[in-house]
Amino acid sequence: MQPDEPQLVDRSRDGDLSAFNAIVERYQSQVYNVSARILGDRHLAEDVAQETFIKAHRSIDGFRGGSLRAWLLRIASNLSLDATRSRKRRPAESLEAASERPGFSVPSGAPGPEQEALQGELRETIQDCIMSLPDDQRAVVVLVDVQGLTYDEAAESIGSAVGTVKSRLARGRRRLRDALMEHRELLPSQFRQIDRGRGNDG
Amino acid sequence: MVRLFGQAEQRRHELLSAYVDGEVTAEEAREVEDLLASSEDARRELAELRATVDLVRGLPELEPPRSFALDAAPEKRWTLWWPSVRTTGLATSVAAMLLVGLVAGDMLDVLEQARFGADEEAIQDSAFDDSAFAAAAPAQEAMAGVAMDVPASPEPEVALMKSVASEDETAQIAAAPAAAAPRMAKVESSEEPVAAMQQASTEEAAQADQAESDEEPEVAMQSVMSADEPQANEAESSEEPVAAMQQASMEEAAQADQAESAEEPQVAMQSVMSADEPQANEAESSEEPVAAMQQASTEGGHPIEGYDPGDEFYGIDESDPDGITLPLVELQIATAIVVAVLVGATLVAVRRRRRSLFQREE
Repeated sequence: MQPDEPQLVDRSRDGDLSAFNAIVERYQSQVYNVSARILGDRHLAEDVAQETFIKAHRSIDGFRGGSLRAWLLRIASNLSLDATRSRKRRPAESLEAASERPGFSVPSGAPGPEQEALQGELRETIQDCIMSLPDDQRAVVVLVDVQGLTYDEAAESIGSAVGTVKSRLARGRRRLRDALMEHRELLPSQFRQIDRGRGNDG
Repeated sequence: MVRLFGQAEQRRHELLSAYVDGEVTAEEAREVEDLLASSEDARRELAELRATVDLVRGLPELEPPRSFALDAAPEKRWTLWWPSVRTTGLATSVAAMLLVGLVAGDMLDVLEQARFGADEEAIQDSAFDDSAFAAAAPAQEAMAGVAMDVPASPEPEVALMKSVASEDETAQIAAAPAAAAPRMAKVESSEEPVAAMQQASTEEAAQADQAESDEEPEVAMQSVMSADEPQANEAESSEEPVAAMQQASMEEAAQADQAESAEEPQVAMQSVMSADEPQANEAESSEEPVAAMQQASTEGGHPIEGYDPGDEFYGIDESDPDGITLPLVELQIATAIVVAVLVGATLVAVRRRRRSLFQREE
């Protein structure tokens, strides 16, 4: 957290739009990524991210200190889950959205060796597995594992206790592991090793 | 194997998961390390967890397609809090169901009334002439009795409240004679089983007496006014809801009794009004279901007993319903207005949601 963050918040409250936009610039990538990973849809995530900052601007008076990032990501994850639910209620749009969802396999920037391994199909598979999680677990997995929030921040972001984060994360990860195991042919060596280690488990 | 999801099992999963993130206390870390040293399953689970987390962390950060900076402060008009679509939708459906219930009840009553009128118009008329006035006369007596205590009470409400509050024996006494004549009216108009049941269920004589005595003044007034002007009836009826409400707000036993007694007067009124205007009949009859509902809701401990023609409170009860008849129409109107407002609110909520989710500020 930058030292001038409280100042930016204060100035935003006083109606200084440039101060607020400095906050936007600082967090828009995280907001966008959380939305995209929870939604599994980059186009929708764009709208949700924009809506997040509009809503944040509107309710910045209600920000009571603490982690600004957690506060913003809370708005973003709530809006994302809302959008997920409303999309579920409209299957036609969901299909449409899915058809234009190839965004997750597009490499961003110059891929390093690690990213090289996660290109293409594997990325989409991982995203699909994340999407298979129940809403509450998906939000926590995205916040902690994708976005790297601490448990405290994640708890703030979902408006729950740290214990809730722990249990949802544990359940979500196990479920994610099981889902990934169904695509073991795509998985990197770590998983194939585990697979052998499990012996006759499968 | 690891699939037994006991509490201990779940705690172990959580410990291992938190251990991956280093979000454990020193004590928990020791516990995990002991576990790992002794359990092959635990070691494998930890390895799987780490591999899973590594995969997810390996996902590339997505580049935002554009800046989300705000061009201008969003319109403040829309910063007003607005309930969600879910909230407004739920409220709308509840209100709509209520409205349907009211209207349906109304319709049923209208049907009953229509049949009644078709079969026995003559009786209805006679009911109007004889029983209504007969009821009115004793009621006036009752009123007079009350008036002794409450000399200048031009408003039935006042009389009602006082008599209830003070449990006046005078009122009771006055009510007794009133019971006799109204009974005749009931015999004719006693088409409502509910009313009969409720009447029968009046358990506490004192309370019943109070309720009766309260309401009869109204009947008297109404009958008088109906004789003068139909409009007067309406005006009064608008006040009667208050009386009904007050009664309802009284204590349980008394409530039930009063409510019951309050409804039957409707019958009397209806006959009166039907004589004047068919429309009035409909309106009133529509209200009775509500009265029935109110009775049911207030009835708490009342056993439902069969109709007892010999019940001395029977006649008295009938005179009371006046208070509830008119509120039904008003209830319907009010509910319809509420439904309309909620539908509007829902539309606004939907539009706002759509705008916020799907309209970009390019």
